[in-house]
Amino acid sequence: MSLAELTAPWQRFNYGFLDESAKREIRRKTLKAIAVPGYQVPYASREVPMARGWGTGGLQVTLTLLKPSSVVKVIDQGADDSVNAVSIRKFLRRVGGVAETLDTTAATLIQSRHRIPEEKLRADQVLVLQVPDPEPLRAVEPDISEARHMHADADYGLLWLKLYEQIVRSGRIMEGASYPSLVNGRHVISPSPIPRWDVPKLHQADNLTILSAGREKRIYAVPPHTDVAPLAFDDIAYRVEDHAGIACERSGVKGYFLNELPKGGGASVYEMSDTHFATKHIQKREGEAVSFGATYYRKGSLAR
Amino acid sequence: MAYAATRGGEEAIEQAERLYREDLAPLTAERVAEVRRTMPYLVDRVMGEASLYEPDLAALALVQTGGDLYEAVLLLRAYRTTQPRLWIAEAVRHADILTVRRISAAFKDIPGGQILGPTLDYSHRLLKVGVLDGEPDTVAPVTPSETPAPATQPALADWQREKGLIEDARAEAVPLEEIPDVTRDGLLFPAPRAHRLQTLARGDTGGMLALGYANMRGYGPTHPTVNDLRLGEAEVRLRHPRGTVFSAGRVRVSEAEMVSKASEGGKLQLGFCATFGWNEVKTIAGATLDLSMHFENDYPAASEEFVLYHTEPTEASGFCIHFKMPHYVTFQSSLDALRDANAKREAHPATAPETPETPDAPAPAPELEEMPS
Amino acid sequence: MDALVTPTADDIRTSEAFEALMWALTRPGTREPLAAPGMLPLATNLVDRETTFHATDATLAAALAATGARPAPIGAAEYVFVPLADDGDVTRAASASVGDPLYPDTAATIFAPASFGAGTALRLTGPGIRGEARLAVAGIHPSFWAARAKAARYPLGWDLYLVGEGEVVGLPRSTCVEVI
Repeated sequence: MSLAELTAPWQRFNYGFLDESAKREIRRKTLKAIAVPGYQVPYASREVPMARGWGTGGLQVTLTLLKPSSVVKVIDQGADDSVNAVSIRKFLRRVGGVAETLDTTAATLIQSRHRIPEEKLRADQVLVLQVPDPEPLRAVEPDISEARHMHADADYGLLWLKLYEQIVRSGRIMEGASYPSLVNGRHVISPSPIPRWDVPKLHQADNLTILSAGREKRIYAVPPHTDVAPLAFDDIAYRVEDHAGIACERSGVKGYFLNELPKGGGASVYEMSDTHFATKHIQKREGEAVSFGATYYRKGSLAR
Repeated sequence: MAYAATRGGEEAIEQAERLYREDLAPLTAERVAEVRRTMPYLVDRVMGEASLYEPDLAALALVQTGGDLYEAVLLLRAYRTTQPRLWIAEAVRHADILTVRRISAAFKDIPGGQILGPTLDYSHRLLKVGVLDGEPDTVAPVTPSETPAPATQPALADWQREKGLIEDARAEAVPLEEIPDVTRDGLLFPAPRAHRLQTLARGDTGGMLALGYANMRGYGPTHPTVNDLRLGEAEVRLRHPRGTVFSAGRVRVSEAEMVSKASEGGKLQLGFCATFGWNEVKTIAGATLDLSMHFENDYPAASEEFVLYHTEPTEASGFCIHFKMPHYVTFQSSLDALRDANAKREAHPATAPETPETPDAPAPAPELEEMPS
Repeated sequence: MDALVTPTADDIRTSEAFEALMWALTRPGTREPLAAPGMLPLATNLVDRETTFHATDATLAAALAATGARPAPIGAAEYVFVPLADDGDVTRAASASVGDPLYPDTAATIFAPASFGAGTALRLTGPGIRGEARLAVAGIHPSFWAARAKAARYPLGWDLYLVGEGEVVGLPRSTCVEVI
């Protein structure tokens, strides 16, 4: 055996930045995550040229999936042009030579922080969600070793109790984003922190969703056609954000998740959070030829 | 330019980086060499926390980031990610370390002797302000000792083992390739000993000091004593596939062994920490943490999970600064629940949820759930 | 740094092999085409010096050992490459790890040669499958399916790849398999 056999010719870094051993590890762990939907698979999580907490988990998965024919969309809070989304997209271009798109329907690979696009993802698309805290039990059990036992026993009683206490105190469930949800009837996940609006999009989806927490070093997945049920009581239904009836200031379109922009005098205006979807509506209004994908919601209600 | 959701974000981040770099002196090989030569302890600290021993690259990382330590460590760690792991060096024993400084606080004198070596411990910390006025800084040369200290020193722990003072639990001979590597596996709890020591070795000096100090002050199960503290150089010995062991070079290392005063089953307990570079604060704090984590206890600062998770420089600093990123989606989601609960309360005060202890009191205000980021 | 990095032939090969494995597991029962036929390109996609393996085929075992991966008895190996053609094969494979309740991911991934389109008819349901899927498999002894069901309760269990001529089928432990 010689050093030459062990190494590749020198280059500044690998295609996709990560070296082969890092990619193999993420491949191994991603496959385990797909095999046990919702189970958090520990992985080494290499450092990448971005600070931890800035999408390094999602980035490692995206880098592993990257190929020159990939068409990549990166969003942060629904926006393609949020500075961190721009930075990640720029990095993917540098190390992957991939094509970029803002259009959800044109992407093969979507890396997102905190949102699932409004246009329905297809079976040939992969959604990679950045996750700050993968542990749905964190709020009730900060010790991860204890939490692991609870997952092993499917013991989610404390989570139910937490929701029940919210109802007693506040008259409703007060969970915001990252609503705890039962995957494949077995593992409760913290769905990234996507808003409640987006959680039903994971249920029996056509696409594969991979969730990756770089700092906390966990990968988990929701394969296509998998049950995802937000924890709710028989008599107190799961409720998405009350955005169905409000129109987007930019596009005039109603029925999608919104950003609220405070204005002087106590007023607010609302804009669609999926910014490129709003842009497409504006383009259409201005007479441009635009094609829309199917949407998860129609007129503000889930279309199933 | 708005903060988010603006066109031209790429131009904005490009200009922001240029602005940062304009405040720094130009990045040149000469400046890197100067930092390496004049700030070896800083270079050591960065190499230790990055767990990559390459003084030139560490100095480059420092100059490139204008001395922002967490940024420098991140740069070096990200570089480390791109490097293949080709070989595993042979284990280094205490007695193999070319020791320049070696202290034990547990005994007045020890086999091999106390060696003060290079230290500021007993210097007066007076700022040499005269240098700023052009006064030359004259340092008298070291007078060589008549009998030079031996290059290597025995382990004090060996003597303590022979006397039955500490458990005779020598490390089992694990094949090198079976030693778990925390940069290649997930860190799980209870952590294998190798993972714990590796995590401490690349831990944040400041974070380890804070938690180690908490233990020293009493938020921990032990009151430690320095058993054996060393600065030195270690040969990086590799086994050639043909079987020959050869040195690929030397690295500066520090290691500390802390000993408990309380006995457990009639034996004293040792805690250990070693790192690349010379960094006494880190190894003393680290060995204290290792020692404290050994004992059953309820102190967060002595819990393995708490300590190892919260002294990770790259993770802790990255997460801390990530709070600058927009969080308006998660915020909106929580706000929606809060407004709805408030509206319900105002619309139906009579049917608002009751608190059994004070049925006449108004319904409590809804509590906004903590938002994950 | 701004220069584009282009993938090497190796990068493209490994990426194609991984996609086949990923889609096979994502859509259980679907026959995913392989760009490079055989067990080895799939195996080297996952196996390296950080992993353990068990392979009955001596050529494959030697090739995997050359990656630095450590050979292990079948019960301790993370990646298991065995035939499941007869009763004896099935009995041996049944000792493969089903994982730990705390760490279900430590279960073995089993690769076995098979062919599709004829043989035992299977009905598949579970994550990744819309409604149900059907698969006819030859080369896998019918007793294997009962052994698989008996080996562990979900989330423990084996993740299985059936490798045919130029195609691969994935059956994660989450898939419910019925012989029809």
